[in-house]
Amino acid sequence: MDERALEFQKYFNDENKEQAVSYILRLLHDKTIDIVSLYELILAPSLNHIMCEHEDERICIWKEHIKSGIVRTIVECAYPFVMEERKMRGVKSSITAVILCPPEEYHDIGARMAADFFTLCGCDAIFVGSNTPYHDFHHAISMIHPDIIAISVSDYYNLVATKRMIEEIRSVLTKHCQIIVGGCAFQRNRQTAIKIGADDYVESFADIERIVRSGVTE
Amino acid sequence: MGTIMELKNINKIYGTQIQTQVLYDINLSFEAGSFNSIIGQSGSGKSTLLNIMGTLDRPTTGDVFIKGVNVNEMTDNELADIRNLLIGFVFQFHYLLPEFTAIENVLMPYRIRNQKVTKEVKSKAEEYMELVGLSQVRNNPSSKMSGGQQQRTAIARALINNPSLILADEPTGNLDSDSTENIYELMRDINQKLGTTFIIITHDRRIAEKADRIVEIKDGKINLDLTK
Amino acid sequence: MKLGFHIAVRFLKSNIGQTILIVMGIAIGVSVQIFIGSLIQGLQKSLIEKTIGDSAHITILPGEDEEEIEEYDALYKKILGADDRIESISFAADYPAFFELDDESKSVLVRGFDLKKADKIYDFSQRMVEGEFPDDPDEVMVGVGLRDEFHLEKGDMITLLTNSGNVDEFVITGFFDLKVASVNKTWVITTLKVSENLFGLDRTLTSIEIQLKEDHVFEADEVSKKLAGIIGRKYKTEDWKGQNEQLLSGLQGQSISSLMIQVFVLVSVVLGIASVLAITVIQKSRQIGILKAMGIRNKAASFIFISEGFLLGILGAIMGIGLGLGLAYSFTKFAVNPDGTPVVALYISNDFILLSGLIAVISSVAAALIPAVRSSRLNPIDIIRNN
Repeated sequence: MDERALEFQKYFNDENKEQAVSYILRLLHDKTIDIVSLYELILAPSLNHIMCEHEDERICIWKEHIKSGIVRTIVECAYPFVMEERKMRGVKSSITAVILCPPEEYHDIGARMAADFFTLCGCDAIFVGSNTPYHDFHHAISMIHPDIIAISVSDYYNLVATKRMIEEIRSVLTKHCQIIVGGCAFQRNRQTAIKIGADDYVESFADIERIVRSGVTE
Repeated sequence: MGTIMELKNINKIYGTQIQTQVLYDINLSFEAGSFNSIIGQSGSGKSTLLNIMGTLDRPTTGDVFIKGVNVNEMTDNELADIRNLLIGFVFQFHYLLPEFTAIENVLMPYRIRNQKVTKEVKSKAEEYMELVGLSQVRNNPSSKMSGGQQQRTAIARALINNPSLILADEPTGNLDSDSTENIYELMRDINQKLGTTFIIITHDRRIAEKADRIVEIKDGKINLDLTK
Repeated sequence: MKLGFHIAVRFLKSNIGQTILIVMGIAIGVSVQIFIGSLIQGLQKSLIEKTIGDSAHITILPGEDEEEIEEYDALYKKILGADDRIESISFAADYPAFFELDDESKSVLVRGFDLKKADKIYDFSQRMVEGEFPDDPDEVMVGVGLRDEFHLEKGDMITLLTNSGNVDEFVITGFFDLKVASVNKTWVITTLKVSENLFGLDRTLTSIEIQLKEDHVFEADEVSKKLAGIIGRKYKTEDWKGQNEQLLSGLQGQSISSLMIQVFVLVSVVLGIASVLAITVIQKSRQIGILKAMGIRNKAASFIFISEGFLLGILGAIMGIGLGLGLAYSFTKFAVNPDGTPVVALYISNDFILLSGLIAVISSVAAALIPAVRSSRLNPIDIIRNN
């Protein structure tokens, strides 16, 4: 495992928000880590493998909330570095990407990270957030005219709602738009992405970059 | 562990004059020991599907196989035996016999097949009442218990003959959220301890999201079949 | 089976009001049946008793061309072994005579009996109101009617005058009451010997009287025919049935109407149970549906209602028998003659009561068949689906 990741895990597992956040920000400042590595190598694995040895499930959920709070703060604080990195990369794209979670889905950190990845790829990334109601979004589509809609799903039960959401989005789309999905809900069964009517499944920055590029060539 | 329940090309049409098709070519199979939920809007046909799986209703066309045996080829008595020994039902409206006490209700499926209640079975019933947290009120008339208590009694009743399959239709449909959580925990516990297969119709996402598999029925068809 | 019974008990207990109502219905039916049956039977018994109880069931008389019965010992032997329905046989030598006391006289019938044998038919020993049987050659006993008419007392001397002119004096040893006024007024009873002497006979009889065993009283015509065949044309036989045809047809009519009342009571009870049980099936259809979903077999589900019918029948029969007997008892206590004897002596037969109870149980079970079939056909899905 990455040395930096191990260091972060130490603070993270202790729920030491102050140390964890300042450690990461220091890394970003020193340019010893880039956004993609930060998200893919440190934050995502930490979030996905939150260990809880406590017997009481309720305490585990509470600890999970604290830990996602730490990650959320880091992601928010990383935004200036995201912008900086995009400038450095120098890529520009006319693509508008909308990133959201389906109704009842409250786990939005993955979506937040994906939004940053779209930004890094030069897209106009619009992060809608968690628990997006079906109807509100219909109106947004006709105003935004997105090229890509990315839906992040963590809880697999929400795939039911995601399927419906995708159906409804398709019914109001006027121009070509790719609908892509990602998140923990697909981890064990990627086939599900196609089952619920998405065009593609993404799980890394590379996947997003590939999709944005293919969108540019179109 | 193999397939416990298999549905092949199930169609269900109600009525003779005005025909309403409720299920369209349903093909589904469930693994023994799995914990499944069926979701769908009311009127989607999910209850009909569950009743067909439980041999309470017959499909208009198509076959139901329970442990590999075609239900269509069984006599009424064989069906009764399947319902008694292989399947445990938990309904939304718990359906206890109001003339009997809680523990008598729990013992009822056993008594349907056996002349005498042995000591072992009696203590098993008491153990299940303990498991569902009702040992204090086990001798109360079932009509005098709260909704949650009745539903938990119904679960204990569904378990008494050690069925391989439990079919539950909105088991927490009219319960408060604490009771719902308890009942889910109970069912999951039984699933893990005894290897009992569960197929649960539910509106409650707290139950559905924890199932190994979610089958969504929409307009009489399988809209989505998700495995965790 | 046991479960079905247990469930039936619980079902009945859970609707206790309804259960009591049905049981009462059956009980009233049974009690009416028992009361009417006992009343009619009692009425008929007492009528028959009054008609034939104290008289011969079959009488053997001299044949067409004969005056008297001769050689009766041989005849007696023939009759004795002829039929085992015969209870007792008595000889009679009866002749009309004039009874004279002081200046008054009255036509009477002198009946010479073998008193020991005649007692079995006429039950004299119970019917004596005063004194004892005549024994010596100059003794007679007379009825209470004659006693009252002539103000007789025990030990009084009377004179009897026969058609042929014989006159003899006799001592009265006692008085009897055979409950028939004409008999009490005209019979003068003495021994065979006295009668023979008085009328100048030599071991001849005017009739032989036969009593049948109680259960065979109504076979008198049959036995009579059989005897006629055995004893030959020298004698002829008469039986009480032939002489009481009108009474018998009256009794028969009464029996039929009593039976009809009983049948209609029974039908209404059965209809009542059947309709209430049919409602019960609807009331309990939810429970039956649940039991079927839990795997109770159709037969076992039917058995619940058969058990209900059986239980209701048993309870109704027991209550009905109690009620019927109570009714009968109070009838004999309150509907009485001035002397305190009941207007109609009821005839309480254990067999009849048991039969009434049994019929109630059987018909309750039969009434439960319809609901039983309905519950067997009940499809659990209708209950589950419609909640």
